[in-house]
Amino acid sequence: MPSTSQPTSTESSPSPVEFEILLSLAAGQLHGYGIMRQVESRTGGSVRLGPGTLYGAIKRMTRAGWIETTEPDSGDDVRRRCYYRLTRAGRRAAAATAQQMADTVQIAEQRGLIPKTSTR
Amino acid sequence: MPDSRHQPLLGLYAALLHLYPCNFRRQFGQQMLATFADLLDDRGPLVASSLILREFCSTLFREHLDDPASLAHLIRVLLCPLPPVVIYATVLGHVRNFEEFAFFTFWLICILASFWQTRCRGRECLVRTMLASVVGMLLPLALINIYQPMHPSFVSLVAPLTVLALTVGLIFATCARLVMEGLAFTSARSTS
Repeated sequence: MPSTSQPTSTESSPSPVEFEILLSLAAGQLHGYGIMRQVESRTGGSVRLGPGTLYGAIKRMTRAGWIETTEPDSGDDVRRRCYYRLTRAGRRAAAATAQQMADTVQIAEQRGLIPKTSTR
Repeated sequence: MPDSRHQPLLGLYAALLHLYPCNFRRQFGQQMLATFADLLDDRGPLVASSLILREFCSTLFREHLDDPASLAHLIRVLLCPLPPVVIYATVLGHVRNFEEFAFFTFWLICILASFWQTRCRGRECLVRTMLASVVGMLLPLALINIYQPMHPSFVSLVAPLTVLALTVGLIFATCARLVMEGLAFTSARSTS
């Protein structure tokens, strides 16, 4: 494993819900409902986040320094939504978790649990 | 613009948000409401409500556990009604008929209602709990007395029962106030 993708000792790894949110934000900043829609469409509806789960995770991820908030747009958005974006630490944590998952999938392929799908 | 048909549900959700810890609500309440409004507009009330119902209790519990100040408050709120509830549970083991059960249940409801109304704070808590205890004890007995005259007579029991109810109400209210205000007072002094 490349050492650059490992989280530092002070960082914990994201929970599955937090990882889904990090994945959504990896493509660019989103507001809360945008994250919910992205997660649901990417997982084919198997992961549905409610506002309590979403904002609880956002609170913990903000505290961990993985995401940051942009101020609500005072323009034409009557609901004054906050947008969230990844920080460098968040991108690093997401990459480390993704790498762990990729390694796990590789082992599963080698042991014949799942068919080999692609060449690396 | 938000759909006006969804205003009652939005109002209900806004009220439910008050159950979350104060800090969490202050930080994310508006965003959660906006997200719920988006969800209502996009998916309709059925899907939006089911999503809320599915996650509400677990996230509420988690956020309270995550917030130390809120957890301490939650523990205090749960401790306040403990003495009357424990006594009620003990007494329930000895009830012989429905009248006795109704009597003690009504009395407990009156005490808890006064705790709820006064938030177990201030002199108002003492006065209302004592009053609630008297009403909770005498009113069912008076009603029972109408259908089934008591022996000794209800009138002769009013004075001792009132004294008993006032004393019990005073003890419960004092305990509740000590839990809600006494501990807060101690911690405020120790932090200053």
